[in-house]
Amino acid sequence: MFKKILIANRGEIAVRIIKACRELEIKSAAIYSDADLTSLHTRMADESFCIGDSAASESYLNKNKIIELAKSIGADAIHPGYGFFSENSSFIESVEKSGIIFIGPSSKSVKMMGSKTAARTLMSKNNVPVVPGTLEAIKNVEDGIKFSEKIGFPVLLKASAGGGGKGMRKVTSKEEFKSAFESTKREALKSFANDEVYIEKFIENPKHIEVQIIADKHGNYRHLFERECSIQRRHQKIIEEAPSSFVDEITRKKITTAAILAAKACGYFNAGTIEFLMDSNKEFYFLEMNTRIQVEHPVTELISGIDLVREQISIAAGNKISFEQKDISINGYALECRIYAEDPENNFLPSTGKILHYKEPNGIGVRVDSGFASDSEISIHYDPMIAKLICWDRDRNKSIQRMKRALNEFQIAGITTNTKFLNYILNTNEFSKGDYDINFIDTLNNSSRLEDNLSQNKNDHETAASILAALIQSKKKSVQKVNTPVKNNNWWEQNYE
Amino acid sequence: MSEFIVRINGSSKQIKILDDNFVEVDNVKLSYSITELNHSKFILKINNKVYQTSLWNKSNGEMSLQINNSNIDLSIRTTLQEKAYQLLSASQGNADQIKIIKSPMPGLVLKILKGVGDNIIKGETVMILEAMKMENEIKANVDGIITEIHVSEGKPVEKYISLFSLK
Repeated sequence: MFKKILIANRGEIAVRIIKACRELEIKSAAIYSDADLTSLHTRMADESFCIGDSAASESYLNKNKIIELAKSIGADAIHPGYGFFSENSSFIESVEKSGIIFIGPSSKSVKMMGSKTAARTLMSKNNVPVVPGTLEAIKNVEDGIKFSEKIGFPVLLKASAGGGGKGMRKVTSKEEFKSAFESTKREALKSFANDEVYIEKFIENPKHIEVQIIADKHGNYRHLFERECSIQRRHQKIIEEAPSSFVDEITRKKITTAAILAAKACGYFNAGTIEFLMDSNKEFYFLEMNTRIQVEHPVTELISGIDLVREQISIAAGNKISFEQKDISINGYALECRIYAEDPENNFLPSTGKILHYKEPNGIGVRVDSGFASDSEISIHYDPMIAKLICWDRDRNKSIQRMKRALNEFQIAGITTNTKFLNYILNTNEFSKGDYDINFIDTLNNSSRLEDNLSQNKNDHETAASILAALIQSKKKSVQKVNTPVKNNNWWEQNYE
Repeated sequence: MSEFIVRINGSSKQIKILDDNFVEVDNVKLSYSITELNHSKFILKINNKVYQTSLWNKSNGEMSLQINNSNIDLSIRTTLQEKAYQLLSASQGNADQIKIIKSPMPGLVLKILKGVGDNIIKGETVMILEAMKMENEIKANVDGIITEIHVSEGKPVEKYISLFSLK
């Protein structure tokens, strides 16, 4: 097993990896940018190294610095987390050449799956169904419009190197095409250092279903069932669940088989996810493969009992997968909500600043994966996701109830978060019936129901706020300070004797 | 007895602190007690309900407060200040009012979509601001004609700085 792992990431996933390292008795080395000195991963790791300026390009995306650091501190493996370098084949290649183990797939597999256009070609050859569209990047606006008219608007513009919902735009007409094409290219270049864009037919009202797989270096493949991630905003997942309430046993059999075929097609090892779109007839189409650990991996961990990050590390070290397919089954139901630093009442604009008060929910079946704590600074430089709240219970309804309770217990002050918006979604009829597709949130935004619900419970809190403000302003002497030092250490004796 | 007017999102409440145990909110009497945990955190009890609260920003009668899981921005004036303000704004009522569109967050100005002299309708996108790797549309919060643009493309902006002046 490894002795020291360098974690080339930040936020909650870096913290998650540190925890896995501790359980495996491996030393963890964190890297951090100037903006992340106050973040949790910097505080938690066994060793922490400042890697550069706040801008990701100067720190978390500085390939040479990271690899040089890994060598100089004697790390024998690098865990990339998700985002940043996790699916960057040239980074992985450099790591492979340096003699350090990359905790992930080979650069070859990533190359095969990394370009969405190449992956689509590979999948159609291997009997995995794909969405109709171009198999190659489009060269210019004219070609793009011509092709879109052929398959019919609306179409989806996607970055070939994209992922995580970034670099994607729906185009409903010829007129919109040019500006959408340009801004998708701009975003793609900035996020993935590659401005290739391709076209896919826009599938009406699909569900997003994905399959978690895991494979080792000895040719063993397992799946860990499906997740449903249909609740998305701006193509960014915000609520994920496992299992999907829409998928029946027969469909599950088909889709998990297709997922394993996809993984085998690129000679994959490591944890990975095959994403599919599923239409109302339960027909599914390959969307992309994520060749890394995913944000929503905890829901699968809770229903399967498998620690995916620990498994990843063990596989990278050359071990076989620690379980057989027959050993695992779906136990109960898990739900994840992503907590974003954004303001749902103000067009979801990102909220930045210092977290002045932070209290996580807890209790049976409640898990929080967080990257920040009190006094952490949320900066403009990175993704606005600050934590994930995951709840488990024996069935879907109970799990939703538990999630609502936990969301209400989450207290974060100093920045604005989306917790009330999440609670609102969980309270809709559509969500409780499982009757929604990936456009659900867009349809909500157009109705006034959203604002009504966001203001629920608000009255009591506003009254309390007004009274508090008046008391602070008047500097009332009725404020009692709690500062009585306990003189007798045996305070319980005083109380209970 | 101290009296205040508190404004939250356009609606206002009248608060009268009667004594150490009672307060009136819009003429409804409530019992209260408050315990300061440290300089910014308080336990506030209103009737039988206890709230965990904190004060995270305070300047010139503007406050940002946390009440359980809610974050609330408000402005507070004593009734006397309120009267003075009412008189002042009444006397200025006819003058041309300058309206400002402010930056809601720090970021990088990617594209300015409107120019001086443009007529803007509330809700219209006036600028693309890049922050957190996303292109964010900044929408006008008021109607009016742009008289001045205070920022330029490619330049970073801080939170709450003026982007546009409108008439």
